[in-house]
Amino acid sequence: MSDRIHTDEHSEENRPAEREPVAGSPDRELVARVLKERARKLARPLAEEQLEDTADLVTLEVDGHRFAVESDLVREVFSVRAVTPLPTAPDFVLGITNVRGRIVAVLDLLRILGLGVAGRSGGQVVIVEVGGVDVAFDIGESGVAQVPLSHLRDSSTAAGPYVKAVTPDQLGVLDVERIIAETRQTAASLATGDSA
Amino acid sequence: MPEAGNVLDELLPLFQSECEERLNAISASLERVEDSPSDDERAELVEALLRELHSLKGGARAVNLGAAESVSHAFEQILVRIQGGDLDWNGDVLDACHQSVSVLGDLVTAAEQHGGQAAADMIALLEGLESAPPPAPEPPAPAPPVPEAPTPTEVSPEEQALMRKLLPIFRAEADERLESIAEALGELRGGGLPAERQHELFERVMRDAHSMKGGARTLNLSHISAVCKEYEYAAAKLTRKEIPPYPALWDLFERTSDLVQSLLEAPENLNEGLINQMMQELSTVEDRVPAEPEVPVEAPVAATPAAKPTVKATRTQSSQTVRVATEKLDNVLRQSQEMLVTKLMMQQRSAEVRELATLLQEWQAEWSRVDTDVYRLQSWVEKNDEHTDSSGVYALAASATRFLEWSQKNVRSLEKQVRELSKKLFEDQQGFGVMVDTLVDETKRALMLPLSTLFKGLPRMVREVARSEKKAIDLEIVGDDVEVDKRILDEMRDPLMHLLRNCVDHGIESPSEREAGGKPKRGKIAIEVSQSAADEVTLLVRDDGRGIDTERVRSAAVKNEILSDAQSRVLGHDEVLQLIFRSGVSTSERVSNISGRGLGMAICREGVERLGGKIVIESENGKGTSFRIVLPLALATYRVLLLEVGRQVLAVPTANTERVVRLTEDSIASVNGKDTITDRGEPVLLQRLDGALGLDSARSTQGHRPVAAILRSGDRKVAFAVNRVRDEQEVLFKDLGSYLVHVPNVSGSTILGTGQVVPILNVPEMIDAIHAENVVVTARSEEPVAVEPAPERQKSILVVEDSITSRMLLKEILESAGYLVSTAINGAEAATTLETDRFDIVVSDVEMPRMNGFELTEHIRADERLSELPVILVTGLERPEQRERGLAAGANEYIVKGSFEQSNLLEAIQRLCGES
Repeated sequence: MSDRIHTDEHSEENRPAEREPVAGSPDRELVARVLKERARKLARPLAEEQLEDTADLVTLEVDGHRFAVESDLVREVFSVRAVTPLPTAPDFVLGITNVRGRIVAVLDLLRILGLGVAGRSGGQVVIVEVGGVDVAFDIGESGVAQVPLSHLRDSSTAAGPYVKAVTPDQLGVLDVERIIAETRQTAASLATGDSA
Repeated sequence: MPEAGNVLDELLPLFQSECEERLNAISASLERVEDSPSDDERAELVEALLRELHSLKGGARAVNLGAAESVSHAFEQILVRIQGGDLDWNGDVLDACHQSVSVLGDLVTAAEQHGGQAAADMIALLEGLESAPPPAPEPPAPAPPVPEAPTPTEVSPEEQALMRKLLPIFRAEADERLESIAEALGELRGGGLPAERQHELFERVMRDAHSMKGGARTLNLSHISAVCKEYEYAAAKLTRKEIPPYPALWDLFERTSDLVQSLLEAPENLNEGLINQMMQELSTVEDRVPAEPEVPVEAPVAATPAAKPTVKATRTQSSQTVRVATEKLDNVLRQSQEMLVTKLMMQQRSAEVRELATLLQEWQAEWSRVDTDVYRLQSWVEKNDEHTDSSGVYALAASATRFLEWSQKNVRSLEKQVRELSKKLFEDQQGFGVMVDTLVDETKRALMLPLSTLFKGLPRMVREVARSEKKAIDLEIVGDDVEVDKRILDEMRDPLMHLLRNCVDHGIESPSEREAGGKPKRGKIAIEVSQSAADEVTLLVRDDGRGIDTERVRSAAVKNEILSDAQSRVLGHDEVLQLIFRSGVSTSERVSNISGRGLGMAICREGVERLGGKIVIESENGKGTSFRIVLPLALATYRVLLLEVGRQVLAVPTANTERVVRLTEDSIASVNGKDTITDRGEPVLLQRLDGALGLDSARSTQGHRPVAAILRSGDRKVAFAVNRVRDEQEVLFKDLGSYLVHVPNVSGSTILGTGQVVPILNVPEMIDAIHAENVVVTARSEEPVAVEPAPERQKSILVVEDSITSRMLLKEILESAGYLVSTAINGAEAATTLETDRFDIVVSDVEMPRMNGFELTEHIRADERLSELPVILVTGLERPEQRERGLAAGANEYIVKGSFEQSNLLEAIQRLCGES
């Protein structure tokens, strides 16, 4: 996972300052400047284009990082009482939890995106469902946003394989399908590797 | 302490059923007090009541139900006052006692730790009780007592409605009782009965009359209850041999039965004169005894009258159904489910034998390759044998080939036999498998009960809640004959209750509001049941109330910070409706004692979903709300043992558990650098469970692991050291969610009653992995050189306690600490047990029927053989003189029960058992 689009400069909030530029990635400042510029240009026509089709997004905050996911894929935001760690599960699986009688795995989004390790936050999870598979991401806060479709930009490869688009205010829209499909594969192969 | 909560949750149902029993006993005793027995009897009854209440109080304390504890205490104080002559049994006192029973029942059922107003009111009422001013002088001894038929007391219209519903039930019961009496009288008329049988029949008449009296009193059928009371007393005189049996008596009894029957069938044709006359006759039966008893009291045993068989025959025919305690059926189900494990093991054995046959077949194939060589060797030996065998080599070769020939023949027949055996074993195993599956299915079916059992009591509850809310509501139930797994019914009781309360409280409008809206004044709630698929049932709970105002739900959710305003705007009508299942969302402006805290619906949904069901809500503003609950008909359950390691709780299937042993330093031996323990003479590898699973806690070398669970997969065993073995539970098997397909060493998960999620370990996989690593070690450890210390004998404890809740709590605490625990329900039983079994220590309650703790201690100290046996008294009595009494009796330790203190008890046990 290469560099990320959500760098410290884009937000006034306090962000963890520990991240180092990854070797071989484009210059961070340059990326930031370009994106900021682009955002400014894109931001202007918003008021005039009220009637355009919009993308409904759920915004997530994890340990200071912010993302968005398409709200179609979000089943609910849920407060979990506790997450039961599973011994011998891959490290990005925080454990399993009880969502009204259903068992759902809880994943560590930051680890999956290569952004480090999040400390367990306040017990909120966002439950996403793709093709009958549901999984929970451990998050801090959540909100909703609407963005005109034309304002979504394809993400540069610099944003990493799991970010499929970028909103005008630089939120990465996560490719949830891909995250689930690929990490699930990883988990399964780790399991058979271990037990063989 | 963190575990306490869970243990208490597990004990609560136990306490609830204990409480129900005790409250029934208390009610029965109170009723007997009302029957104005002699002073001695009263004193005995008060004694019995005190004992029941005391145990109840202790139990309530054990499960942390403070309110129930306080009410029991106040109730107990009333009885103490009565005992001390400070208070008498006047009507107010009796009423208050009855009311306390009902309040206690409610408090315990609701399991609220801090009682609401009801508890406080009750206590205030009890504390304010005074003796009745001048006790009305008892009427002098009845000359010929002519009991008056009491006039019916005033009842409210609501009560009348309730009685109308109960009346058919009572009629059916009374019919049965009258029939039973008629049978008894028929047999008595036949005469020639042995005294024993006669006595039995007298008792039957007395008991049947007694039961009818009670039922009639509940329903305010004062005439019937008055007649039955006299009926009962007259029969009692027979049982006490105060009067001899005589034929005219049977006539009188039959006429009484007829009178009761006619009062039941046509109460309006009441003939007070007849009733009074009958009661008078009954109360003076002793005056009518004929000079010479016509029927000999003792009849020759051989004389058997011919009339009886017909009666017997009808009885057997009518008993098509048998009442069995559900607990017994649960046990049968559990046992038959255990047989599923045996079925799997048989499959394994069968496969092993097939393997053996294959090995022999391979041997055969190998043989056939050398077969010709052997044959040639044989003929060569035969040819040369005669002439030149100076070296004897031919003789040797001849002997060898003869052996080869013999063994070939033998192995061939062996192979045939094994093949035959394998085939038969396979057939047996298949047959057994089908039988076990059928048995499990049939047992599950036997545990299916109609939904009507779940609905029992709901109409009354709805009526009561409606009354307190000043609403008029009818509850209609359709299709309650669908049969569902009893365990599902048990789990559904609370959710359904919450749902209905919610309908009454929020759904249905007040009569005036309904009228204004053009609806009939009486609201309607309907429960419609239908079997929607082969394995599921649908309950549709509908009300014709005001419907759910989605705007209010939306704002309530935002106000309680469940959603942001922006988020809530995105939701559609249906999605907003779903919000009422979230805890904290209530549209009610006020919090009543019925609902409005926004929890009921959350509990309802959780309950339904825990069973694998779902609940959907539909509502139309102004027209009503309906909840559609879909439930499975049966549950798939699994028995597991809960283990604690570090801060994690893990479950292992009971089928994989051999036993649990206590670890001490002496019991662990090191064989080739690997820790082992001895289990029944066999060395078993010992591993830390956290280590085997790679848990974080494994990294710290600290933390004593005092207990080990010996787990098994096939014949292979490994002991896993853990911090604590919590208990065994029946749980629902769940997967790990749709995302995780396979996780090493974990086969699934389960949700405990507390909502906690616990992984279920894949024991065969764990043991395979460990064995793969340790093959060498185990192979070597079988050599006799291994020096094994004798395994330490587990210390055994006898727990003596009359309250089942407290008894199970103690057992749980002590077994978790690694002790072997036996129990006795009172001092007398303990004394008997002590005669045959050896224990290291006795832990006893003080207040118990038959032989109390002090007496038990004295008994033990008096017995030479037991005089050294340590005794710990555990009690709720906190007065210093009690402690002195206990220590004087010879107890080694006197511990006052806190709500859940175990550390001082365990310390005392360790100290007295001579452990460090």
